[in-house]
Amino acid sequence: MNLTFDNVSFTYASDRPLLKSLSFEAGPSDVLLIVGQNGVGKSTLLKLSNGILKPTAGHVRVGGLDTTEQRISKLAREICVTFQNPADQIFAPTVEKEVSFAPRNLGRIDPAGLAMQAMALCGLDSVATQHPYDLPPAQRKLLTIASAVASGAPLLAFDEPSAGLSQLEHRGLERILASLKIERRGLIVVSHDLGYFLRHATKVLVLRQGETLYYGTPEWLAVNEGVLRKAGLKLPIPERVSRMLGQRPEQPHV
Amino acid sequence: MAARIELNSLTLRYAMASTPAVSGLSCTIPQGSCVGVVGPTGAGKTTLLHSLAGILGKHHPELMVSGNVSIGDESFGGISREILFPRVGLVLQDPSVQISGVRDTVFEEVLFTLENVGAVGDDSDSRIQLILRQLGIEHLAHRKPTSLSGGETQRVALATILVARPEVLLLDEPISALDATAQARLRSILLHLRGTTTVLVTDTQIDFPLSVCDRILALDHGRAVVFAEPQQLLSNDQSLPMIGGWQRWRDIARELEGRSDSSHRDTTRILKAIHLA
Repeated sequence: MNLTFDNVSFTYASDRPLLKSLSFEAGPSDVLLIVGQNGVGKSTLLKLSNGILKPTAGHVRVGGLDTTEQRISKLAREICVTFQNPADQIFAPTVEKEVSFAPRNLGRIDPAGLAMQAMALCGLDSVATQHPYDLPPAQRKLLTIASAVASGAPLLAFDEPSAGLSQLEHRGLERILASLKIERRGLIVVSHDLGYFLRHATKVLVLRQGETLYYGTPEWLAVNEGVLRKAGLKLPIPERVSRMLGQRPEQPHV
Repeated sequence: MAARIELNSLTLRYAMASTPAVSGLSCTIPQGSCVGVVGPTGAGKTTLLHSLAGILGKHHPELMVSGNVSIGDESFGGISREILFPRVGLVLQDPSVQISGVRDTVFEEVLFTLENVGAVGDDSDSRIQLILRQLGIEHLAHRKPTSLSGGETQRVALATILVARPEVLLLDEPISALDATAQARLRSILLHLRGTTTVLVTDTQIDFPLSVCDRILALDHGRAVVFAEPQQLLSNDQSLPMIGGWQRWRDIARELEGRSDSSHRDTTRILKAIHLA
């Protein structure tokens, strides 16, 4: 199951083009990291990937299905997109109901079991009966991740999944990513948290002014900082400091 | 003029909660300083900020309070039960909540603050332009505030508070959606405010606070674990697992130590590099 962007451009009505001629692909076990400055169109790109928005030119395909020709409900079986702000998507009165909504709605076998597994993976089993808005923001973020995991979709797209997570939850996210990798699910991640996600990425797409500035391996990007600078981005502060002091990078590619 | 903040054995317990959200917190924040409040989820960071802004008592009338908060010359006999804006400005963790939605453009949204606090004057336009420019969002001035991206919304929310020029500025995880350039802009704004505005900025990670704050307050389960200057913190060999990203800084300091004989010189070098990075 692959997500393919083939020469995709997108313009919001009565505005100038936001995304221009993007081509990339993400498949099973991939972690495609998408980075770029605020407002460059990263969240829009995620909305294009599951058919919420349709490209102005080019083709977006999910497992070979063209998003312009498919119903969103059909695409939702194959790709699950998680929004940046949990408040934009959480609606159920309990954590358990929220997490089991997608697998139930998509007619998966054993939705309750899928929800249980996802809650356990995301460390939410102890708060299953709580109201989502009684949880602290970081746990609400994990709740949206659990909902995506439980959906059973082979492709998952996350918008800033590590924002607002503290050390403990960062480690939890590490566990979630490892588990999704074993399940061979493909991930598309939009994030400013380069320090965290460059370690996990198999591919990186760097956007600048709506265009592809770089599409390739994280290893190359880590040693060619100029590309990040051109995109108005930087390596995380500790990495920059460590390099200024003449130290070896912590990770071989960060 | 900036105000000194004094917390005296402050304890805050939400109704029905088994443990306090903030527990016996005492510290003095000098006027015009910039304090990074770091700690994991549930450490009490947001509760502390909301109590200083005077919105906590409003939202949680059954909150149990002991101890005292003073801001400048004013002592509240507990916490303020009145919203202290514009004297104290708070940028919420979820910036979209802060956008009124009743104004058509970003410029008017920021102007709305000045209207609300009765501060509209001949200089309003230039004041707003300046803030938008400092935050790097002047190109958004005519956009609809509800049509923006996450990082853009975060900066507009900042602008709506900064324009009021509060004495005390409280920022709840302000960089969570900001790219590196926007973070650098916020950093220079905060450095510029040093001495004139007392700032508290929360984060789950230590990196940004270390680059801009002159003091770090680490909280865990509502209690202060550390309240120190960055220099002291970096010389501290303690393991501080409640501070996100701390281990990486310990590793950097340790590797330097291996190459020299003065840990004082090392921390100075690290801090210098942080400020240049």
